[in-house]
Amino acid sequence: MTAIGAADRSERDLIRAAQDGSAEALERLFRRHWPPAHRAAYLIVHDQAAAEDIAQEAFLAAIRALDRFDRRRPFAPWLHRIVVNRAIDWARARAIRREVAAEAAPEGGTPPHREGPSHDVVAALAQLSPEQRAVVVLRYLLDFTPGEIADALDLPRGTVNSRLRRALDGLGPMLEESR
Amino acid sequence: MSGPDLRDRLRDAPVPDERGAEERGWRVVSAAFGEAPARHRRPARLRVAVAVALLAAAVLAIPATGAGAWLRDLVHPGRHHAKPALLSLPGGGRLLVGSREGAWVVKPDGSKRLLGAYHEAAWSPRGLFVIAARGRQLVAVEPGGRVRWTVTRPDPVRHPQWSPSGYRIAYLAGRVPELRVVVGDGTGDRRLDPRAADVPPAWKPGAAHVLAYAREDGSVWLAATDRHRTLWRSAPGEVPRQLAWSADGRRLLAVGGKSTRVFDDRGRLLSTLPSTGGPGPVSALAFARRGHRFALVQSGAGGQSEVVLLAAERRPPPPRRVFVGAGALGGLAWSPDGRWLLIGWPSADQWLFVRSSDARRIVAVSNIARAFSPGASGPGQAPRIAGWCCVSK
Repeated sequence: MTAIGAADRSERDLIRAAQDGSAEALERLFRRHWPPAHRAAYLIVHDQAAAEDIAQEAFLAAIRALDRFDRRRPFAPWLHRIVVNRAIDWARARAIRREVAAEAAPEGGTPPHREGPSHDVVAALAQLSPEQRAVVVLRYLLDFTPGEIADALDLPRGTVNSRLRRALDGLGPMLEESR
Repeated sequence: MSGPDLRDRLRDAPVPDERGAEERGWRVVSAAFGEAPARHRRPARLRVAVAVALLAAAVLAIPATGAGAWLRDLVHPGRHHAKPALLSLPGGGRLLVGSREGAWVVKPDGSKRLLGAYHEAAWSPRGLFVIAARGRQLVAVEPGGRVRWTVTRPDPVRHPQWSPSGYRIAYLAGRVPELRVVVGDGTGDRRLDPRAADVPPAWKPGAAHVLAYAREDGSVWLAATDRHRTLWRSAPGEVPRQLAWSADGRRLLAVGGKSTRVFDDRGRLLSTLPSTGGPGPVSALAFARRGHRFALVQSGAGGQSEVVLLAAERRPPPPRRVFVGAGALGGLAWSPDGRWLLIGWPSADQWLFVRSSDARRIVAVSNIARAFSPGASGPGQAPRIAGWCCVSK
């Protein structure tokens, strides 16, 4: 058995154990999947509190649906789909309300400058729309294929490709300048 | 910049208080898991469900009139054991919901998508599009959020309604509302009546483009929009808040604050229901998917509201009470298969899905306002149920 196959089986076992009420199994699932989920949410909404809320809500949704979850399906894409869609909704809602939290970066504005290329990617992402950030995060952080992104966001494949292309066109110069 | 480079940067990007967020997240999630009924705890869940069902049966066994004051003791501010979030739509289909942020589409799995800052949105007949108002614009948008076309008017537009054929849209525009009709692709916008009342028009079911609307004197008009011809008009009366057709197009209700007028399709007034026999005004009404039954929400004594099933007939059968709740009840919508009735309950921040064949079967979902106000600092406003559309996409 390959390492990936073993990992899949291990995850299925954890889900089964969690479905049977094992808090230990749930914690292992949580520790495995929280960091990328929380990171994805933050990179889309650029708001610390909102990212935490979104990741929590996604896990709560997962718990509520745990009994009905098909163990043959991978857990991470399902969770990430919830996270990213909620993050898009949050970002859109904020744009509509035109609220700017005191410590949050303005929508489409430049967040406080910090040193280093990793900070620069956050600043560069802030220049993109929430929808563009979402496809970048799904593709390059969470390793979705364009087809999987289209499915997750309920978009045509061509729209995903064009959003990715425009996002990379926008990110490229900004990140090159920061080198 | 290469993909691997971007990948590395995204994975290394600093997330504020990442570790603290994880610990707080785990505390919330583990607490919820402790409360959640896992498989080995199911018998307890079953006992709770039975208790809830018995309570519901007790409430529903009360006749629609003459309910005693003891009823208040049975009615709670929100259903116990309501689901904390919407994880599926009983009956399938897709919901259209309006909140302060705009129009949302809720899918069968409970996931939702904010279409944008649209208001007074309505489904197209097969759910392929949503028609909505945005300031001075009439906007046709796909359920995924893509705008198909817009019509811009000099004054704000409101109450757009898509015809059952899919080829016409009626809407109101202007301070003194004029009724206008536009072709389903956004062309051919023209005025139908310069003095309509500020009431959503209602297309008669069927392929012909026949529209009911109201005027300021409370008269109800029926017009063949393509021919620009009035088919009938009623006597003046109370200005209705809502017009609604039965699914077969043979009954038209004009719902006012004091009374509901029941017309047949020839404009004959069959009956007038004074506040539908209830103690308070009607706030929402929805015809069933078949026949002449309709559900309505009316406020009652003691700060309660109720949902009652009636029939739009000359001599209707006695009303049947479906639900009684403390505080205000909101919108109503029937599922596409007609088996479930969705009741908004703003006072309890819940939605109730009631099985039409067995009103004791109630699925309650809580935290509705917050679900449609993501990121709001307060509890959020109760969303408006704008429609429950067809299963096909």
